[in-house]
Amino acid sequence: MEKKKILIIDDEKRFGELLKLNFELTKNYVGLLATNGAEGVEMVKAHKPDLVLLDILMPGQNGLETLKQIKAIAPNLPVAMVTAVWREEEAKQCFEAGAYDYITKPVDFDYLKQAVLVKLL
Amino acid sequence: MGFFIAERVSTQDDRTGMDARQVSTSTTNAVASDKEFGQLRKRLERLELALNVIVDAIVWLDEQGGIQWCSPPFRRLIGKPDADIVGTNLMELLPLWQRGRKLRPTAHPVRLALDGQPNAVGSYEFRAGERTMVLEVMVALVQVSKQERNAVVAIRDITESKRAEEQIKQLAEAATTAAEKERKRAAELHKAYQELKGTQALLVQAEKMAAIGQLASGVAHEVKNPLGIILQGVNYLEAQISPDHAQQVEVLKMLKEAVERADRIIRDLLNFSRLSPLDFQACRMEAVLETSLGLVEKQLTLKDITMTRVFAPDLPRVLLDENQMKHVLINIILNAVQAMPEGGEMTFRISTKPLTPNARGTKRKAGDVFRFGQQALVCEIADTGTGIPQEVLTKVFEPFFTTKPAGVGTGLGLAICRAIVERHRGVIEIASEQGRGTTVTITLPVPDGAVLS
Repeated sequence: MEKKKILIIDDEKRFGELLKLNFELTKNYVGLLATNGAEGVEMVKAHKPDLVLLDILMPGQNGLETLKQIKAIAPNLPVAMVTAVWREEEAKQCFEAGAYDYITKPVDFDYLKQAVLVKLL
Repeated sequence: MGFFIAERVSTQDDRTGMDARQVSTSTTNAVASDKEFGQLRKRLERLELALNVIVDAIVWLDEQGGIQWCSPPFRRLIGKPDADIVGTNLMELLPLWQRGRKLRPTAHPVRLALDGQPNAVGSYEFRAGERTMVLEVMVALVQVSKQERNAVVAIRDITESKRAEEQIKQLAEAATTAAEKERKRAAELHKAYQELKGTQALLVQAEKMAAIGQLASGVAHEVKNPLGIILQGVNYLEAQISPDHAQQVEVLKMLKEAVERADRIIRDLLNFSRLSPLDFQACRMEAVLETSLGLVEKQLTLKDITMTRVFAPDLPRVLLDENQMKHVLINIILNAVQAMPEGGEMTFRISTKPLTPNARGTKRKAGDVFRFGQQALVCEIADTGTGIPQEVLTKVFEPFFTTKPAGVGTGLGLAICRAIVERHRGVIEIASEQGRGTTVTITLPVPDGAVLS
């Protein structure tokens, strides 16, 4: 079975790194890492990931804007928002822009794995 | 002063009322010498002068009250010449009033005195034209002979002193009234001060909550991100460690629990800052309560807790954010469960009542929360648990106040409950008796024109 590519876009570099590690431990995934929105969009273009985990509050271009750009390039690419604080209005906007989930940190990896799996089965 | 009966007027000098010649003839039956006559005349002149000078009016009366003689002040009092006075009945010439009512001739003090009644002295009103005067009337009976008894009436105008007395009385009364007013004002001020203190405490509380909310939303992001990193790290190590290393597995479990605990505190704090508008729907409180009970029922049965529901018929709907109200109810129920480790009884009562100014809960933010006379829905949740000591009871709604061991409670549960109930324009109260149990009462306004059932 070919490994699925998960792109993690998060300015918290250590969070992204550990998440990448955890995904790779499962042997089913390959993790890709971007620490800002613009870089993330470039990586979507370059690496064609299977799924994106996208932070919202980032310096520069924020997660919602990044989401819109990603959806413009790859409308069918599943994107789940992974953010620290649950904000109702923000969540609504993300869903409207095409995100399929809105997950808050800290999140248990088991939960995250399930959330990813539903889109990659 | 006043009433006495002279048994006998013994000296000539005392009988001053008559003409000097008459005096001498009637009392001594002897013809006075010229010298004696001159002396008597001189004496009489002096007496008349004295009586003229003395402000009191003196009147000599026969037994029927007919005036035989009067001193000049009496003439001035009556405002008539001597000729019109002598021979006239005093009771007719000097009608008296008492407490605004004219005295009948038989009740006239002089009449009473002539009849031998000793209580005939006192102050009376006399109306001289437009003017009302106050007169003090004193009567002395004079036994002129064995058969004949006369009376001397002394009349003093005490209008001015009465008026002064009245003024003093009025002033004293005014002073008393003023003092009373001051006392009342002081009491009102004290009450207002107490109310203000209460309001201030509420404001401080509200500010505290707002500050917590602001702080929470500010730091939440900064705290939750590192928590996210820790949890991913723990997840990584969990995957790497062989299950044989029981101790390491245990350590990781503890780390994970700590992360969850910290996260829960942040989430609780955020509930303050999330002032998302309440989603009000016309709901039945009893239905919301049933749903909440359904969510925690298992815990109640496990702890051997029996439930009693006392719902009044035809309860009106109230405006609720169902989810938030469920949060409140579950919080209260779980607190009750914790207070009854050996089991017990929970009673849920829902009823309505009109709010009166004295009704519980109407004082706080009076007028702001409820209008007096408005219908209110009262939901009581009572347990038979350990109860709460008085000193703790006053603090249970304060944020961060907890009696639970570290890690078990954040001390925000009831503070959040109160915030939610108050955002429903309601009041939450708690009453408790140690060893007997606790009752939490939620009072919510019933919207005007609420449809029954």
